[in-house]
Amino acid sequence: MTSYDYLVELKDVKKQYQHYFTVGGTLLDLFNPQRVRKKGIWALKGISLTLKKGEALGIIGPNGAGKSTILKIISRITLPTSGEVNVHGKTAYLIEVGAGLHPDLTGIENIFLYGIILGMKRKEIREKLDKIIEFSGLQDYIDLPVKKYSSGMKVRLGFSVAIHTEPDILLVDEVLAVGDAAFKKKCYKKIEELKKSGIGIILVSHNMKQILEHTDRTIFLNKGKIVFEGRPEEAVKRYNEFLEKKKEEKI
Amino acid sequence: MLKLIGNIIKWRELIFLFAQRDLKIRYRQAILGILWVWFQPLSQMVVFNFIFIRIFHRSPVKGYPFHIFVFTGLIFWTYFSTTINYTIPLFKNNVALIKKAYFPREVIPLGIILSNLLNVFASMLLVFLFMWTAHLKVHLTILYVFPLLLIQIMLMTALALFASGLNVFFRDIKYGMSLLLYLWMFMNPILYPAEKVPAHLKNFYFLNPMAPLIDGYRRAILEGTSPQWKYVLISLGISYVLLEICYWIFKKAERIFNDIL
Repeated sequence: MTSYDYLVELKDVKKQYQHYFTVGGTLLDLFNPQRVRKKGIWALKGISLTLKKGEALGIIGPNGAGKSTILKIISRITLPTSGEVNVHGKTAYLIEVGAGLHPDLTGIENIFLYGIILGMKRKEIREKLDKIIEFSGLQDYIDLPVKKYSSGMKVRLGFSVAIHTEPDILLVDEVLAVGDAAFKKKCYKKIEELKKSGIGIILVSHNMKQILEHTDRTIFLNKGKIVFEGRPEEAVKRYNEFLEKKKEEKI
Repeated sequence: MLKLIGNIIKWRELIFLFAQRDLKIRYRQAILGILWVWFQPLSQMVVFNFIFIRIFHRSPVKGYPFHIFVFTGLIFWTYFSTTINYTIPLFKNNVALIKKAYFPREVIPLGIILSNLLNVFASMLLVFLFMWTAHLKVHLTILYVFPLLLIQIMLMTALALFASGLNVFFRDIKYGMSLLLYLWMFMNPILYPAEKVPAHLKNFYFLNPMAPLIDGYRRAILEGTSPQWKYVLISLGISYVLLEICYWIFKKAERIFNDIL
């Protein structure tokens, strides 16, 4: 483990998604300055946050608030437009169902692919293979191509690999919304266990019950800014009030 | 370049895995499997042989049959062109992986370059078979193939990074690339020996970094002579500079891949 005070430290991080030349653009766009100069969207407008060892941080907020962008910046998948990002330790990022799994490869082959992408060595995976399969509960399906899996089964496989990479920081993005109750319970039990062993966790969720039960501190995010940061109960309360108000406005 | 080598060493397991995955996916559902690898240069060989021997009644090479000559050049060119064409849409096809975790993105095209290298060795078996039927001896000079291949891989890496990286931004790269590769083929000594190139054009002709390599492969494998080192060195220089430039561009583009894909 690291000897830093914080596992993650963001200082005034801003992120603007440029429009650039959108996917499917052509070389002609180079001569179309309007398309290039179009202003991008500010997904994050100055975010500062920290994550300590053994801490679970929740992030809640409406769609488009920038929740996922924060996780992407921490895991280096995308770079901030400005601000400082310090990450001390290995991150494992869990996103939507089946992302990163290859449909034509079998469960086992995907374990290796995903494990190595998350920074494991082949040897390490081979040693942990039985444990990974056992945790996923997919023993009977592990030699089938992943395209035959249900969405719940894909989540199981992904989650199982991710926690066995022994990350210092676990980033969970909505992923556990799928999967059956028993597996969810198992995952949260594991998350609590990992927390005790000193891992930092960031949990993005729309499920307030999960936020209340499993986070120590929660951030309420709206339009790229932190509205509130503190006790989960308070954050959830404010978020609910915000949703109520929005509903009233609509009526 | 040093950074690229560092990344290759650090992420070698992932490169191998991408190569392995590519081979598995490509051949798992193809009944003929590895036979497809032979089929592409073989079919081209048959057509070219028909044109030159049956229509022109004249082989441009002396000393050994034309089909062996064509085939040997073709397998290395096929490696070059199919790999680059194949890598162009790579990032779009692997969006899910790219969005999942950070790893240097160049390992994906590198995996493809590696997996296709296997095809070259598979095709070499056919070359040996042809040589045996024509009573051609294998010379020790065949070892020169390895340094030549290394230069070719440098050049391929440069172009693959350039094309696949830019394809994220501009979709028309692939049309330009396939036309370029098609025309480029005729600028190599594949259908004719390099000796046929007029002397005053030779220096210009060999500025094409692939030309001395194709010429060299054939000398090393079929003729038992060494490559034309002067031109090979120029090819090495050009490939190196291209790789530095393309890698630099690629690394710039990589920073914003995710925001675009």
